[in-house]
Amino acid sequence: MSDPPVRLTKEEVAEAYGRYGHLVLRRCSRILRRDDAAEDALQEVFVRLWRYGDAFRAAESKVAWLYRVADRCCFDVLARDRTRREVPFDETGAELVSEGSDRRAIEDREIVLMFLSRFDDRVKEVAVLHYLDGLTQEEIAAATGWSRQTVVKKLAFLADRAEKLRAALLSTSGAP
Amino acid sequence: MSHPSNFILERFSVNDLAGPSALEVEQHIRACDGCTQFLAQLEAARKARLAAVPAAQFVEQVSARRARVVRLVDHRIARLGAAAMTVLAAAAAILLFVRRPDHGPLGGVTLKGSGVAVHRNRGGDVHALASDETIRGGDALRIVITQSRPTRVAAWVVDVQGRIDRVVEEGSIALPSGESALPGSLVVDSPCIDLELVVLFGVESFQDAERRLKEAIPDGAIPEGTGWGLPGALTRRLRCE
Ligand SMILES: [Zn+2]
Repeated sequence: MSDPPVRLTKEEVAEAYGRYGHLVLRRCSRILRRDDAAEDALQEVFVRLWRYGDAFRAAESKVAWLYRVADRCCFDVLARDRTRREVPFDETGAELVSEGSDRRAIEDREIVLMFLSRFDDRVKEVAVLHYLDGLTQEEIAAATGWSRQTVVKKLAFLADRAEKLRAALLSTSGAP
Repeated sequence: MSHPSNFILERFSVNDLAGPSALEVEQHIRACDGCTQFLAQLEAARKARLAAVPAAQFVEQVSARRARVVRLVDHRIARLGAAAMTVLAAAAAILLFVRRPDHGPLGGVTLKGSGVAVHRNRGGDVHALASDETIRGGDALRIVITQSRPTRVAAWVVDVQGRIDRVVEEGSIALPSGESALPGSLVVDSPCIDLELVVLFGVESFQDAERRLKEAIPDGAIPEGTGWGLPGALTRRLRCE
């Protein structure tokens, strides 16, 4: 019988949390938009770090590894909770519009993140890499292993959806 | 140089960038107030986080959670209405008695009329998993056992890397004849890894059974449908999509 792959020690997990925990939490908060869910996702990410410690150790970029795991954890939460947590259109619109005086200030990023649960996981991944990480098309292609063309298509799709959602938000919030 | 991406700055802030890239970013930051401020915010967030939940406390939380991660008891399926369960039972019955000769060594009397069905809950859509259907991270799985006489049953999931997780926290459980669901449900990890579900009927000594299961795990890839050399065992491969 072979030994199971080596898992991290408690000390290593504590060290990883001390160094990267705040970054992972920040990411989860931005994707999930709920503090309790983000906290939960953060724990889930570290459970997996513990479990797949060998892969983490081997990762060239620890942050990139943790972010990919965080994204998957968050997408799972979004998929599970979609019906429960999605904010009705009219409410979201009111909230968004009252936040800033300039309606144009509703950025694509905010809209895409707010409605992230509506997209399939590949589109979600591109959305997060582009809108949260600020990666270029080439960088997204490199990070995901998808062709540049696929990435371009998904970004165009996202921009288009953001535009439509923005229009819908503004119309439901009583914009002229 | 234009501003580095958030991702690069975040990596830089925790020394996750390799030498040349780190140098480039460092040079940029010296001349850029915006990026300097962003890094200061990250550092403040790190301190605030560690003050709010110190590492030792966090590790305890994760440790407790880790103990139940794969076989996380999840009551969402249990909350399903009786009507849904009846439909499921009917669907399961079809699956249950399709005795595939490549599943299990088919040794031992307890196996006669025994079966295993896996119900998958994905975003509220629940049904018995057909043999060509797949799982993915976040799916909740419920294991439904059928047997012709009351025995103790144990179940494990073994991932393709040979990690074993008990489905029943206590090890084995006494089940009546007929159809019964194992308590709780499994939530599939992300990233999803192919799993082999191993169910053992007529368990006398759980310790002994688990030891034999561990011994049966080979060095290389996990074999599919061999029964693991455990008399009385049924296996089922759960593939990731
Ligand atoms: Zn800058």
